[in-house]
Amino acid sequence: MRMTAPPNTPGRLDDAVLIEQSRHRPESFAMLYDRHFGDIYRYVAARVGPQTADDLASETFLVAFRKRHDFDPGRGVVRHWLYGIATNLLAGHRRSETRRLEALARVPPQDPAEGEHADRVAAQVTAAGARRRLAAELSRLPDGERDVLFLVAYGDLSYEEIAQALDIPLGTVASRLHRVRRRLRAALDDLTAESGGSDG
Amino acid sequence: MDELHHDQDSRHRVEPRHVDAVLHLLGTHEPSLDAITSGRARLLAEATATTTVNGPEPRRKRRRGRLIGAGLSLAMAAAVAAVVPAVLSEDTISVVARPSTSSHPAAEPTARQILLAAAVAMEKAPASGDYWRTATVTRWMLTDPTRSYVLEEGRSIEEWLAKRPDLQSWRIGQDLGVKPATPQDEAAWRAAGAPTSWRYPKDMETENLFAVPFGPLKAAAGERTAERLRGKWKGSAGDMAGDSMTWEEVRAIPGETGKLRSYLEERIGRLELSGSGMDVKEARAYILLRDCVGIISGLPASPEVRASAYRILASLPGIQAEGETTDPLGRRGQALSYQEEIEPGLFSKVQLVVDPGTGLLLAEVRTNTTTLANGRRAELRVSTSYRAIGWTDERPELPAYRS
Repeated sequence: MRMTAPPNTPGRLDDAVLIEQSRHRPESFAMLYDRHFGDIYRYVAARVGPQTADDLASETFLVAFRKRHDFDPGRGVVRHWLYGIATNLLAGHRRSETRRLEALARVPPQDPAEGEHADRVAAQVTAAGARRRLAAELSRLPDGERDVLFLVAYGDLSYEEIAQALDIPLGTVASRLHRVRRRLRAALDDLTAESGGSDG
Repeated sequence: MDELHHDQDSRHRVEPRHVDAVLHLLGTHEPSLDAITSGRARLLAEATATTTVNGPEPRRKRRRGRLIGAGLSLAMAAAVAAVVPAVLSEDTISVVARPSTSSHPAAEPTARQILLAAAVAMEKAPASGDYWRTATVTRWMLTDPTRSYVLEEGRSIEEWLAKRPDLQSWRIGQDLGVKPATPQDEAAWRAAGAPTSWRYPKDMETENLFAVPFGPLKAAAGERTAERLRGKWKGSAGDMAGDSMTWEEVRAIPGETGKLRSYLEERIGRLELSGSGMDVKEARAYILLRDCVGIISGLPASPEVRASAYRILASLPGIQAEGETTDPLGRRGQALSYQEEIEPGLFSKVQLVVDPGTGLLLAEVRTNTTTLANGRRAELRVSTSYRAIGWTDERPELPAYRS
């Protein structure tokens, strides 16, 4: 993943100050786009694929721009606020997200190359099985649980930050993440339930 | 343990190997250049429309085509955005020397002499330490809601970046509160009943550099809070011209002056500047200047690299010596200045305060003026003062509240 500089690096204006500026100099908002577009795009693209992401990531910034008067610097930083807006927009694309995950769950394992060592073939088959189990589990996750998981995985947000981004109580984030962990454990770590070999 | 208690990283709630599995399954898609530029154009089109409808003053309304057609590349826009906070990325930027209106007595050092002296001093700065520390105080001014007096807000930020994996990186910040900017403003503030909070009407007319604050502005200073830098931020050593730099990239910056200049010019040459509405040559010269200031003011580069950045600045046109001055924190230094075109035809003076004895940049100050309700002309300043820039073996003093 691309490195992102902290928002308060000395010498550069705070994101929140930029939003203030953009109230009467709307073009200032373009700086926030330049700083955060990459992050938001990667988050959205992971969930709905690059094609839909082209539109949705740029839509995120349009919505943010229109709502710039509502941004409250007391309730978190701009970057997290943008993740919250992107997550709200993703809610309109639940179907394409789950379809994509279901498709991933059906991808057959690649045919082993000729002459490959039997151990490696077995390892590949197991890995492919795990991938499909993961995709299937992700497609079955309730929307709210999938949101928090992706904000952790792609946004690197802490649970306080997720609570701010989604405007939900901290306890809700914690319990959602707890359930996600249990479900992923069951899907990925419990290999006795579903042996790798029979998984083709 | 205290540390464990505060390290409530959400990754601990989801197994790291599960996060990795998700990343592996779904991959990381980078946006295409086309997606970046068309998304930016959409945003600017909307921003321009907003400007046209609600533009504060006719003088600053822009021609619609100028912004939409600007098509500034992301890299360039980021470069300008990151290094020139108060400048719109679409604006023409000029560092062409303007005829000096003041004549300096021969005894005062020239900008070139000050910068070369700073270069020599900088070479003696420590080359390593446990932490790369930058401590800044940023202050900015705005008028009160009735435009009767000028207020100043401030924020202090310390950044402690640890290269060693066993040390924590921290950012410690504190809002310094709001107060009248000058004695004259204080008198007007008292006459207005000495309020300690200010609520701004949403449709208040504002001027360049600063806008209407969101919530009510409060006079009281905030708590000192610390934030542990983690995840992606931990791996970054800062940024140059809007590009985040890893420690390895910073270490690879050449130190010799000629090589540093070639290195910077090569990076700047890769920026797509044509079609931006800027004079490409002027824009490049400006970015070179800002890159050098960026190296001096915050990048954990070697003393040699930082000294060379001063030497490059010494060779650039457009920087003038303004004599001895006091920085916003009351420290003595030499003032150097250049003009920045923040909007077409609107120039803002940028002052760098340098201590030639230590080679340290003390402050960077941008000044504009405004007219208050009673007709008084008042200065609106935005400044960043550097309390420390460099390597240290000290440890941060952490406040009780950490996140």
